[in-house]
Amino acid sequence: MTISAELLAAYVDGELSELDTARVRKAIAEDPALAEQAAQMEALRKLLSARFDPVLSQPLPERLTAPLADAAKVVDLGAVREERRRWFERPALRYAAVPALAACLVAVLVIGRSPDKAMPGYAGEQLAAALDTTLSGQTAPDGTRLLISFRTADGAACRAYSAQSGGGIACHDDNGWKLRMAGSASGPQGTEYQQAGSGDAAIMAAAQDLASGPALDQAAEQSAIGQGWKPAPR
Amino acid sequence: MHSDAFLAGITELLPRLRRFASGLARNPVDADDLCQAAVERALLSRQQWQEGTRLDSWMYRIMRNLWIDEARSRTRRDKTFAEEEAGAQVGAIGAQEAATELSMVDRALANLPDDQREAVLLVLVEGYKYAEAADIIGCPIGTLTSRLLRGREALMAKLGEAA
Repeated sequence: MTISAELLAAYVDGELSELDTARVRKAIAEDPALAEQAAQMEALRKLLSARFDPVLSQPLPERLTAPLADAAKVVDLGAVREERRRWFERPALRYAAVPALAACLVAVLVIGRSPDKAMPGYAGEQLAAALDTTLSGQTAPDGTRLLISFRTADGAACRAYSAQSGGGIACHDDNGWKLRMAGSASGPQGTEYQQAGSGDAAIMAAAQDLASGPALDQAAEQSAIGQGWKPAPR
Repeated sequence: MHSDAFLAGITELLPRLRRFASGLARNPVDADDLCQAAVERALLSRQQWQEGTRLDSWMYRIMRNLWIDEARSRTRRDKTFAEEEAGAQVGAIGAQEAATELSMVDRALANLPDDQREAVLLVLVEGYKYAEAADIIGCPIGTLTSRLLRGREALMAKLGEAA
């Protein structure tokens, strides 16, 4: 049987069927020149491995690991949000407790608010209402979806949100919700619990930069809603 | 490590990606540039990766495509310059004899056409099956095997005594 260079290479590379492997093996046993060719192919593989495999055990430069570590931080904030979203999707809460609770809070806070006090650079009344009372992972009546809450280094409460007209980040101060970042629209609001859009990812990344400490969990958020998003004691 | 399977997967692949990059690029700095570019591209293109498909093939493909784009824009003058450099930077490996031999590998690889070099690296260094390597490159298996054969023969001719 004549063994082509291509067939011999496929044999050395372990690409042949059992039958063809047996055939080539037999041919090699009978032909020293062929055996020599096969040995050279094996030797080349070893030579290449000796050159490149040491790279595997070299320490990884920081510039390769850092982008992944940074991305993981942003994603971790997202995971907190996701966890909370799941919690609120439990049927009992979703259909009964949450709307009732939200309705109470809206009532309390809307009564307490003086109308039309929105200043330039601050959230308007509708957005402010959403920011005041909607838990992260939920969608306010005006369609604003709250992504996450966190505190900055100086203790101010901030919230990242996503809305059809454009999401962003707002931080609470004495005058209301000051807009810190206005992002792009997050895409069609097809369902209540949509996937985060690409605009959301940019907002989440900005939130990561602004945040000091972890995202507020659901209990902390409830408490902040109850206390009007006051700054944390320093 | 990372709670995120995608990021954890890429992190785990980094040593192998660096090995592939160091075969494609002509010096260690270029190799890490290429590797970094591939990681950044992967993070930006995350939505395009489909869960359940192989992350390693996807990452290798990204790196390979970046390298091809870069190689196409490289000028002939740069190429000659880099080839001289490639022979000079393997001294740290160890024994004088080994270093000489290894720099011969680098030189022999640098002289291969790009399509043969990537075929040789994917199969003989990265250990991919022909079908997997062809999938990463985006060519038919027959094309892959003939490039591999030509690349292998050219290397064996150059490294005859060493191999």
